[in-house]
Amino acid sequence: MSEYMIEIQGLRKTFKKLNKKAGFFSAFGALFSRTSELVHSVDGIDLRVRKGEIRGLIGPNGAGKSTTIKIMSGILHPTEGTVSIMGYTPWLHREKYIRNLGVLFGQKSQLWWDLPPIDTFELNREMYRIPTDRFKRRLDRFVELLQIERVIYQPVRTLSLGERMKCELVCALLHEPSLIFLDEPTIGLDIVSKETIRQFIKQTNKELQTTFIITTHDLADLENLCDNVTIINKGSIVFDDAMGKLSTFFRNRKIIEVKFAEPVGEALLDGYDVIEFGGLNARIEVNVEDKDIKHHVYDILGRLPVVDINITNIPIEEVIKHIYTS
Amino acid sequence: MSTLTGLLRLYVWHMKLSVSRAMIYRFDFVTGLLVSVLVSGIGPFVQYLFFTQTRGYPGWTLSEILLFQGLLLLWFGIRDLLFGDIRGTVMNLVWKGDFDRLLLKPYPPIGVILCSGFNLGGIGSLLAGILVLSLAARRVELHLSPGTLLMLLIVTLCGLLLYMAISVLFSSILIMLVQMGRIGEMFDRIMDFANYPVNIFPLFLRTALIVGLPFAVWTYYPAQLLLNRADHRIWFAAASCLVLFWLSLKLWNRCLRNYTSAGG
Repeated sequence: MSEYMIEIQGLRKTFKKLNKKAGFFSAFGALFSRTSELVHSVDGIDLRVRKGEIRGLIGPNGAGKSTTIKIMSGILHPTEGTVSIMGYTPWLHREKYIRNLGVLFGQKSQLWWDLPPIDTFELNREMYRIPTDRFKRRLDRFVELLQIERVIYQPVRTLSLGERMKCELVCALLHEPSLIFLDEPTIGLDIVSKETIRQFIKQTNKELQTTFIITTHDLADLENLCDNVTIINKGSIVFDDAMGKLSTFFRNRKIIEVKFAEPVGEALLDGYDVIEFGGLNARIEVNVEDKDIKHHVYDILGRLPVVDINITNIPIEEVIKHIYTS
Repeated sequence: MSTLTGLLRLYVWHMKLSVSRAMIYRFDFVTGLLVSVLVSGIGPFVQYLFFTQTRGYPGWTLSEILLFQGLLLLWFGIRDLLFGDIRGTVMNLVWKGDFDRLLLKPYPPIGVILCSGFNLGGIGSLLAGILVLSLAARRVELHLSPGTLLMLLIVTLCGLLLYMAISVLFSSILIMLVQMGRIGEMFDRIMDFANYPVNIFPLFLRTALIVGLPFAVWTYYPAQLLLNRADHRIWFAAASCLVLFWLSLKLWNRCLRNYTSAGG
């Protein structure tokens, strides 16, 4: 058996998109003739994910992340390519495959709005045919981990966003799937709720060896949870490696943060790429390709009244921004 | 088979949750029930006026029409109780881009849609139907042999299949077009043909309502069975219901394959 839980090759999805011009007459004219174009939402994606991995799947809006997730969930049929997840082709073996899959769309709810979450959990128990004792055991565990003892008996419409999201997570995990897709699981949540959810994901991954695919725009989710990250842009994969590799993406560029004993003039830093300057502190980006970091540090220490100095890699945020826009 | 039993269990669960939800908004439920009984009563009254102020329906006495109206209300009650929420649910799901959720359930999505149709509001028409039917039963001699009861059961099941076929057709068109307000209205107007005895229509319409779109199984044939005058064409109507249901599922699968989902 393959060591990979997910194997995707040459995945493509093309949509026919109608072109609509602005204005009343154009809208009226669209009644009689419409122009359209083919949009390659996913354009040749190859992806492999190991069992028990937490993989971040990120990219700018409209990059093709959601389409990829929808094909991987069996919601959409691809135009081209092969997908094998746990030995299933999602859109062909949808019903069997879905029994082993949990999905949470952060912006869509599967809870019954007027009823307490416990009723939706019970419905899921029936739907996934979970034996009552196992259901009870799992629910008790999840309720304890997420601290939602009272919440599950209150109507969903009265719950806060964080409480609802925790209940959505329970819905996605009650049937103990081997693979879970989380689409922006921490969107709009406060710091405490975000942390609880991240801990819960980590704990579940550790205890049950559950594989998680997380799409997010929150870098803290990536840094706290993911082993590997895949960046999609314009329908293709532009980065696919360990999280650690993102921080060393610009190997020849470093950031030097310096604090001065007394205010200095910015002119003293001429020749350096100053990102931030405040008189008593400065943030400088240096290129270590021609001259090594020691040279730059000695130069700064020798010419300026430095009381503290710190050398870091280019922040992940910058790296991702660079990858998105390049 | 296990999928079918699973779906039936799911239907019962949806029913329980739907009742729980209706009980949360008790005032709305009680007023809805009263209004539904009152509005349902208008139908037989209009038919009574129509019958007494005109030449009536050829081949039908006033008492027989009362029976027909009772059965019609009873059908509306059963239909709305079992599947009354389907259209609203599908429209809501497709319009809000939540239809994807159904594809993430371990059952055929059309099965889940049909299972989510229970609407307690249908109980008003059901009660009104039982009331009118019991009034009619005092005035007409009903033919209630075991054979008739069996046929009534078959015809009712075929009627439910036909309504499911129409719901599947509606859902198929909806997932392709997303917005289809007036088409839903067209469906309703066409189904209005079932509100009158089939034998009052010209031959081609009569044939269409028995074989093409066999709405006759909803009220006309149950009435004819109870009056002991059903003809052999009832079997064509029953077969047609099965064929239409099968065709609707074929169409659904084709539309589902071309489903494009909403933006992420």
